[in-house]
Amino acid sequence: MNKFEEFNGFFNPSTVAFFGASNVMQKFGSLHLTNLLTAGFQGKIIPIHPNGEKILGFKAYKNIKDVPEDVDLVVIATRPDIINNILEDCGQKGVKYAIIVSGGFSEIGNEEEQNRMKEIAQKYGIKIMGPNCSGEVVAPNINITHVPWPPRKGGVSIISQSGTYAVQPLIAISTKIGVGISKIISVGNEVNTDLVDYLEVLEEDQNTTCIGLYFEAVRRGKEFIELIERINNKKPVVIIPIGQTEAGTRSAKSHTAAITSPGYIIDSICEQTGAVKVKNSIEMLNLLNGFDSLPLLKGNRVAILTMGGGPGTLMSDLFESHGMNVPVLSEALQEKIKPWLPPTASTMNPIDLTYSDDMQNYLNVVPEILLKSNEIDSLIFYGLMGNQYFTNILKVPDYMKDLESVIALKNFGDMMDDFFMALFDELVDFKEKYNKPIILTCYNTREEKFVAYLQDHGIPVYYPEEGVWVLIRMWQYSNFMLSKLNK
Amino acid sequence: MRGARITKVDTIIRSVLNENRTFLMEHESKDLIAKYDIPVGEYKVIKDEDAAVKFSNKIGYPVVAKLMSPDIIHKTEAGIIKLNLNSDEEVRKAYKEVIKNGKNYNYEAQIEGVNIQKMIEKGIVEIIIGSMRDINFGPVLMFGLGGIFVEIFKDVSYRVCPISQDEANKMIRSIKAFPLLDGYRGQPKADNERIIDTLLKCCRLLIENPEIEQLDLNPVIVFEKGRGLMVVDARIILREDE
Repeated sequence: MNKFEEFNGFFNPSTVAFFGASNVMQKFGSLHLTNLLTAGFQGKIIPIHPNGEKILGFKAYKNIKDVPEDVDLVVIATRPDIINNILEDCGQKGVKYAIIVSGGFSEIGNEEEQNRMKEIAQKYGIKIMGPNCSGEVVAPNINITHVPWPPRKGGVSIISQSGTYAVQPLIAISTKIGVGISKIISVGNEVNTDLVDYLEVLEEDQNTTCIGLYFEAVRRGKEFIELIERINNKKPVVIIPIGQTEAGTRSAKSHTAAITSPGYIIDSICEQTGAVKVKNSIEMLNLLNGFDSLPLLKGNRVAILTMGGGPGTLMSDLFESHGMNVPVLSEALQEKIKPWLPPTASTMNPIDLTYSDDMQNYLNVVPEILLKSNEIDSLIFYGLMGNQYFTNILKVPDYMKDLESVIALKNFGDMMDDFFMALFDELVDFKEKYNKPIILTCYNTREEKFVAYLQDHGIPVYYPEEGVWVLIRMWQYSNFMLSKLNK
Repeated sequence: MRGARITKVDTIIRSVLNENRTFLMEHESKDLIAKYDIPVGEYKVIKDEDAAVKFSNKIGYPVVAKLMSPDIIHKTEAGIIKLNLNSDEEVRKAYKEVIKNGKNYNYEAQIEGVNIQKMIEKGIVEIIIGSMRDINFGPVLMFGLGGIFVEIFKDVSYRVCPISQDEANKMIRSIKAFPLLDGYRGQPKADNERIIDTLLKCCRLLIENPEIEQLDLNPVIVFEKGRGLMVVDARIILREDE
């Protein structure tokens, strides 16, 4: 059995039993159950409760041993002192996978109970995620966390030693970043499965295209380094090490009983393995979104197509001070794009349209000419307005609403989303056809329909500087891999 | 952790541990790294003045005299290093002075002897090779140029052991001061191949001797390409019992 199959019970269960779910909705255990339900889980849900006939509408059992059918996975979110007895029952029942959400073990110095947990698990061959963890997500239909924002399905997988960073960003994922998720795993205290195990699982996982790691301390350091180096050859690994300052180290220790390594060691591991280190959780999600949605960069030349000078200038500065190149386009290429741009536009690169309402030229004609050329390796846009923009303009007083120009604008706004979609489909095709990353930047979120459409079809949308950093980091990865190949 | 060792504990390390020490004196440190074929020059720990003069004449002037004491880690601070001694008289004077200074610094310091070694000529650069042991990742090697480069600019690179030759090469190239090793402004190039080779040997030393908590080769004088390098001072600290 390979590692993926060995752990598959966590990721593909048919029957899930819950300990700690009750008819009080705001209880942690109840949240895990309802979030699994609303994510559209197709399997069977069974609450185990000492005195409930029915929990949240589901038939409940007093003891797991009373459940007639096999249970693939249990989720335990009860008070900690009864967990080992529950686990013993689960073992007798033949359960092999358990997610233990509750804390109260090694992270508060309760080694004794955690060791007992380990022994029971070993006796019955139970794999435990946790304890002291936030559960897991397997998009789209499994969300065993307390955060009710199931993400769309994609190739990004995340392993986290912090429960909060594992699951709370689901809110940003759904409202802003739009990244497609394969799996999110919160490892907690790692009683008998750890970060390194799940890395091995994700290495083999066909649905995972890139991996994000949020870690405080890697207890199996040597294996970790070898594994990261190996995985990086196939899928990019993005990391956020935390607990690098005195206060951070103190916090990590009380958090998961982990002893962290200094930042310079993590940096040297990145230099050795090609893992990409990022500074914060949003940058990590943005970058993973880039890796999942876009082809890898084959060179460091980028074209900037912008509606406005400021973003073009700032983007250029950022790119060029971090190893990327914003080359002046050849005369010939400039001549080719000129006819499609307003007379005020600059064609050197950044290509600054200043303002244009010809969306077809902006989103299709000029991009294709650029992508087709062998002068650039990637394309980044700044600026797009969507329907919400016009909806806000049209919050004019009633006496203005009958004006012909206002009506015209309303009509334009109403049709623009549909009009955009066709142009976006073209753009998505260009990405595949020319095999070069395309990123759009603007200040909108998924509230604006075009943002959601683009993100869901594989063109990431970010705030301007965020998008630049995604390309910079993607190039950092490609550059490492290319220099490795050239040896 | 020590119990988990597969290879046998090095004899030098074992005798230091037997004396309940975790600090290897310079000559012990050099004896140990010399086993890994790292150049340490000629030196001898001597317990009387006449023998010091005799040995000085044998290796040739100029020489250096350093007091060896298991109780004094910071030699410069204690004033127990005398450099550039050019005659029998200077050796005699230095011999007495380092013992006196050592006693002044720490009255109870046990004296092992005076280490006489050849004064190493000036090279292209002075480097530092160091290491520490990380709780999660094991031995970590550090490389940098000596003096202000490490102390003020913190211009150093790190790698978790083991490293490949290629990684060692990247390690020396990744410091900002690398041009000084690479023939800056008409200077000859330093013997970078030997630096790489020494880094690899240190890695092996650290992996094979898990008792080592810290290694500090400082300074190491690097000569021009083809002429190698020489460890001038070495310090090894062992792990406290866990």
